[in-house]
Amino acid sequence: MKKGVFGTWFKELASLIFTQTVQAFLLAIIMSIIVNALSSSTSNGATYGAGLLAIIALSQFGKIELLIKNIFGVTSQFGGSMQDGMGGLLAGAMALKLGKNVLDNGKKIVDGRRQSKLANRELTNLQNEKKNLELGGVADDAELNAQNALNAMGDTADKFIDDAQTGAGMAAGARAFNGSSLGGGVGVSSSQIDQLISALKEQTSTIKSQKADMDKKDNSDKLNDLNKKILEAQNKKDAGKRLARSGVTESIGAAYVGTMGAMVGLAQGDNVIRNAATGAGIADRAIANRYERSQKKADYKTDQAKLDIDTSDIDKKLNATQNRITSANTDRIVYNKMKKSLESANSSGFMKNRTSQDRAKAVEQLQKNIKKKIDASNMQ
Amino acid sequence: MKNNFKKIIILFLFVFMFEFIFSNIRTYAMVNTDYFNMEEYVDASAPDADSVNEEPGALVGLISLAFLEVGKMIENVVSWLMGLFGPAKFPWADYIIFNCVPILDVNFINPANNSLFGTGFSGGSIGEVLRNIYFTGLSIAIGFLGIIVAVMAIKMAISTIASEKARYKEGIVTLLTTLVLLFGSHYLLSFTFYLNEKMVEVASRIVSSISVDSATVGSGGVTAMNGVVSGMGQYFYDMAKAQGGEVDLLIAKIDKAAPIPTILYLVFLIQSLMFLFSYFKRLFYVAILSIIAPFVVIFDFLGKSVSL
Repeated sequence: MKKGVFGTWFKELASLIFTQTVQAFLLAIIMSIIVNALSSSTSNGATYGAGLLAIIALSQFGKIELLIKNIFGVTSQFGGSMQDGMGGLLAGAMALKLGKNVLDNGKKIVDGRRQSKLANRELTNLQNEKKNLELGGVADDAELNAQNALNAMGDTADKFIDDAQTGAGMAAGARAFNGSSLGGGVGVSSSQIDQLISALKEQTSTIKSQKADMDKKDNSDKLNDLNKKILEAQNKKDAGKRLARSGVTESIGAAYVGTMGAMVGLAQGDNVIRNAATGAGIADRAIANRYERSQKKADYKTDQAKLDIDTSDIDKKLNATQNRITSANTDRIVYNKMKKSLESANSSGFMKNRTSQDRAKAVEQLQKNIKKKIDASNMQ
Repeated sequence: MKNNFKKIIILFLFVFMFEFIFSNIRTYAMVNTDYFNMEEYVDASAPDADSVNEEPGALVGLISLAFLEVGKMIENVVSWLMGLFGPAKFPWADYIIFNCVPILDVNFINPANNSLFGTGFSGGSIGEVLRNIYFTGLSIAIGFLGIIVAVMAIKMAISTIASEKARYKEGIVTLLTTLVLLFGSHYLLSFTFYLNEKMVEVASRIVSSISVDSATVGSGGVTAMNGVVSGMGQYFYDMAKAQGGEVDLLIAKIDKAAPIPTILYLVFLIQSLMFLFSYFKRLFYVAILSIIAPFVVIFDFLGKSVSL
């Protein structure tokens, strides 16, 4: 067990309590000095001088207090002087490090403005390019694009055309069948066959038009790329402006808080320049952080907008592909059924072995089916 | 001779101990109201606008005004906070040092009415809690020492060996001394607080007397008399306003502030805030050290008598 606990305790307590006594007498002494200084003159200069004297004297309280305590051997481990109150805040290394940040504000302003100008030029070029592409690009390249689209559709397109041609062939066969002795009285009229052919042609035309839409794919990709580049350039331009603004605001903030820091230094009797640098550095860092956060937010927004463009493009392609698949499947089903029906009507003995009434009913049913299928096909 | 002196001290402390037990002493506690209620800074001594030599430029004036008003805002906010515990006055450095700010009164044993430990704040609950902890600690310490005294007395009574008896006797004397010290520590605390308060009062009276004697000095001097820092802070604020002039911003005329008085005012303000922070720290340390006083005495006894 440690000895002399009571003595240590009392020393600490007395040191803390009598700090006030020491400071009170010091203040009384300062008071006397200031009274003498002021009593000789009433000018502003004398008042300022007295004020400054009071400030310097008050700022030295901590040191004098420690000196007196040391002399009487009652130095407290806890401190209790004004010097200890805020001293930790103003470490020299920190001040130097923080103060350095303020020096790059001029560079920030210049760099920011330059970046903004360059980005603005790039933005104008990109916007012009986009305009040209939107106005003339599609028209000029339409023919080439149509050809490209046909190639791009590949097997799917060929199948569509095959199917359509098959359908048209069959329809022509049906017309021949109608005119032949075998088909006599079947009841498939020439106009109905024409209608079928017309529908098939229309189908072919729709497919070709869809293929032409595909042609625009190349331009659409180019446009998307341009839009993304424009977003990037816009962000770069804003970032430049933001950087320049940050430089200006940081300078103002650093000047303001730096002055406050200098005042704290003056009040504390500590290194005024170091305190000013600390204050300026803290303000500079705080404002810079705010601008950095805001820049990150803007970057994020730009990335998001670029992703939106990509997503929208993918959605469009997906929809188009799905439509084409659906349409192709439906057409295939329709034509296969038509083909089977006509073949069976031609080849089987169904027609021969039936009465003319039955045959008429069967053909009527067939016609209805064909019409329904064509209608369904046109609905797609 | 040395033993006699020791006996006298112990006897003296015994008297204190009985006084503590049989009386309800609540003395010594007060803040320095004399200094606090000194005549305020007088408007008549405010700087004369005619004596203004140079008006600051618009930009400098407006920037100074921004600093000045921020300072004033801080002053008002702190004053308002002080108003929660006592008079709503800004705790300028001299008020703090001359023990005029009730919230910084460390004397929790006999607190001033408006101090943090007094009845003025939260109905005195904080002070009551601290006092309860302190007196509970004191009771535990007394009980602990009482039991040890009883055990040693029994041991001494039943002991037949002379050397052992002598050792127990010595031990009982140490214990009794500690018991006296336990009660004495309470008085020691009260006395230390009292001594500090009185010394501070003496120092503040020196200032008050100078203030009265120097009433004939110049306007700045009179201002400073009414409290060095409190007066000067207010004085420089008014001076900054009076010397600032106005700037015409087409829409409206806005006051400017003179930069030098602004800086002086702000430095006084910051210095006062530092003192406030420092004295709050002191308040906390003293409260903790005071509360542990009974345990310190017990530990001191244990350190002395490990062999017993």
